[in-house]
Amino acid sequence: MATPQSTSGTQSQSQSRSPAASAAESEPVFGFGDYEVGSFYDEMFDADGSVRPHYATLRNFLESMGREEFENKRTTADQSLLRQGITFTVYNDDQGTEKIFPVDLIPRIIEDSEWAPVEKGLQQRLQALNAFVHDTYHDQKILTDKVIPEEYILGCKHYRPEIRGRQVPRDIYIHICGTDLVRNDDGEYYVLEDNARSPSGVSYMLENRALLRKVFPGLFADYSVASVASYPKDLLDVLKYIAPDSGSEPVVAVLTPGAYNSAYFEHCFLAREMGVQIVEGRDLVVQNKVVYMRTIYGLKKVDVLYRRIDDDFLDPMVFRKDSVLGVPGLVEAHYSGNLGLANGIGTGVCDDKLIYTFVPDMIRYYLDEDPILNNVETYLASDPAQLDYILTNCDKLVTKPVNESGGYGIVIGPAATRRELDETRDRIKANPRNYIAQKPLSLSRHPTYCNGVFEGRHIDLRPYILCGETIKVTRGGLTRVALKKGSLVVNSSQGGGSKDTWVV
Amino acid sequence: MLCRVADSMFWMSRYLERAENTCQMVEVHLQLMMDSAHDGSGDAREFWNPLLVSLGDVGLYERMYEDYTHQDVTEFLTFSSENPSSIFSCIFSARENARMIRDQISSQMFESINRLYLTLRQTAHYSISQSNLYELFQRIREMVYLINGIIEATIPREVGYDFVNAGKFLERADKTGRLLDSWAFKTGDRTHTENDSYLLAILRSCSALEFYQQEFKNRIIPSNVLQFLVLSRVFPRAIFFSLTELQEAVHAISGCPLTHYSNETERLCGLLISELNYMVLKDVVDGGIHEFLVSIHKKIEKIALEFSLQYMFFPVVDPASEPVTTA
Repeated sequence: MATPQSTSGTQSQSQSRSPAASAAESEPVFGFGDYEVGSFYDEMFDADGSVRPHYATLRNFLESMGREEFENKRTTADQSLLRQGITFTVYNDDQGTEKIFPVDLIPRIIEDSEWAPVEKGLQQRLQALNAFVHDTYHDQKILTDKVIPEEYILGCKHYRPEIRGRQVPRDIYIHICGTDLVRNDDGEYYVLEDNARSPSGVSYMLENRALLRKVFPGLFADYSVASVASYPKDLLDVLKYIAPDSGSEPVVAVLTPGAYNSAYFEHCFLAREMGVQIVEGRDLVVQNKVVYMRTIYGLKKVDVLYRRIDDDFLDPMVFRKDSVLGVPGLVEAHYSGNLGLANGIGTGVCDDKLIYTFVPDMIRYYLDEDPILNNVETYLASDPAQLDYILTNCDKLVTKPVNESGGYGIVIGPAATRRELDETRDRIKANPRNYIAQKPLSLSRHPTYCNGVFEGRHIDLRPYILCGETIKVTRGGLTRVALKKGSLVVNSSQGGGSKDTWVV
Repeated sequence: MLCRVADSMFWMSRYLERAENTCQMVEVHLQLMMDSAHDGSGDAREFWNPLLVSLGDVGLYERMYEDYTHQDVTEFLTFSSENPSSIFSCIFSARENARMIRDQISSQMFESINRLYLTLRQTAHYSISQSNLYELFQRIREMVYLINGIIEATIPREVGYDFVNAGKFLERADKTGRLLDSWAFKTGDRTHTENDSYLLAILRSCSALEFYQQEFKNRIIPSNVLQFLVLSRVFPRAIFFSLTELQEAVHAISGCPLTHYSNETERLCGLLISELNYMVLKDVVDGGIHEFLVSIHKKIEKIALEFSLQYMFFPVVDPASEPVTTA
């Protein structure tokens, strides 16, 4: 049984022994005997330290393996990732250094009965978000009815007034959504944010599964793990669903900013898995509102683009004039009905953390349903009454800029220095629209193999939701883990790793 | 195939070949330096200048360095990241091109190019002695041969393979010409010296010595060397051989039979091959070898330009191209 809050005394005891004592003796025991649950919700153990039933088989499996075998598996896994070049690019390096995104071999396991409402909640959420984006760019009823203050939308960094009134194929804007979930110490899931522009990471979800199957094939016999393998096919179905009606098999391509983008590996991966071409802006040309790719034998029509380029850089004729990544005329081709584009333009309004706070209201407003998934309670600096609260309680709250991604700009009050807090207050006062604050969540922890022992590390979960003919949620998703002890930041750019996620 | 992918296939291959050929050229000069009898060993400028001229790099070198020293020139040709045609830059560019099309090439291919790059990147941090340099060149050349082997073994015989071959043989035809020209430029009219150590070094670095000797029985004389390295139909580094391989690749891309031509690249390629096929070597030796090699170089450059216009829809952008000075 794992002892909650136990003191980890093995190390200091061994140090006090004579050097003659064998190294094996001083090594911590392999297994979960000394595992500390701590004051957090632990995914594998309950508060009194007993293993949760759906993790019992995994625990026995790992403990019967022994350290040496586990270490061998780990080495094999790392080498396999490096050799295959499953990497991401770290910016601020002149030669674009590629790093492995570390994978922790202990899978996160979620019971199907627990997953079912999450899946439903995510479908509901995406349905409401799509209705909201449509409304934002058409009648703006939600503003007229004063559910969301008008200035919040119009002041949104990613709001695109240029596209108001324009139609998109099948009226879908967000085809691919990555919604970040965390589990709080009450055991409930909370939505932390929605990524409705170009959520990344799905390739790691697929590669992690392939890796675990290779490393622990036996474990899959004991668990009936829901498959995630159909994702590329499902994505392709969505993309074909928004193709212009031409009677022939639509030509689909993945549009990447290029080899220096941090997610280039993923762009190649998805293109390969879907069996479609990967293109850069310079491969495309627009003639008579039709998009073509330049092949050695001439121009070839493109029907649908899965673009991994932000709105800003998509088309220098409409958005940023200095964009060299984009394609002049692409936006017009899209709205003329000659090109399906996923995700649609202008979906960034949903990524704004201020707009996020209104998603439960959207669900009630558009769907007339109660929200299934919880939002995190959020204070808006743009509301004068709440601003005072935020400024007074800055040291107890997590403050976030509304338009950043990748974990940048977040200040965790209880962990911040006085100076950081003062600076944060100044920044918020200078631009209240740009900030929100939340009570710190106690992110759940999961046993993770660190320096030879299993220790609890904080995790989150990003499922991917596809919207085409139906709304499909991946069974599980990408679990990200903060590998640094005590850290709450799971982003790959800031020392995060990932885990395979099983729905059983 | 996308133009950009074709372009990357072509340049990945061209840069690898260029890296190997530059190794080969520096090797020739290192061999000559060890040859005490060589009259140029004293003056570094006189020794290296012809090579830099024929590589088209002399302008850049003289802007970057005040004077000629053996160390500066080898640094410039081997490790300098400011010189776009240094061995390091070529391998870096080959890898960048491979990275851009890694979904289109075999993983072994990317991994081996990546390994070559990492090898050189690690080495570049240390100053390196002359004999170590020689070993490094051996290593680079062996790794390029390995990559070429992996290409042969893993790339489907489709149009991508033709672009790889076009890049390789275009570069090789050009560089064999430039290597010979560095000799012609240096020796000027003294074209009848027997057992010229320079020519010996060239043959050795082209791995041609054994086959040359089989054919010409030990007599290292300019006209025979030209016969071998320019006109051989069977020796893989010879200009004529490389051009026929190039011709085959460009015709495979268009699907046009060799008896006809469907574009300017094919026409110019056929024309140059005919010229070499029917020429009289004595006329060349009498008329000036340097002038002859420069004219070949210019024709190859024109073929490269037309090829880029035909398939990539923009003129060739070769960072290493600098007009060869006609002496």
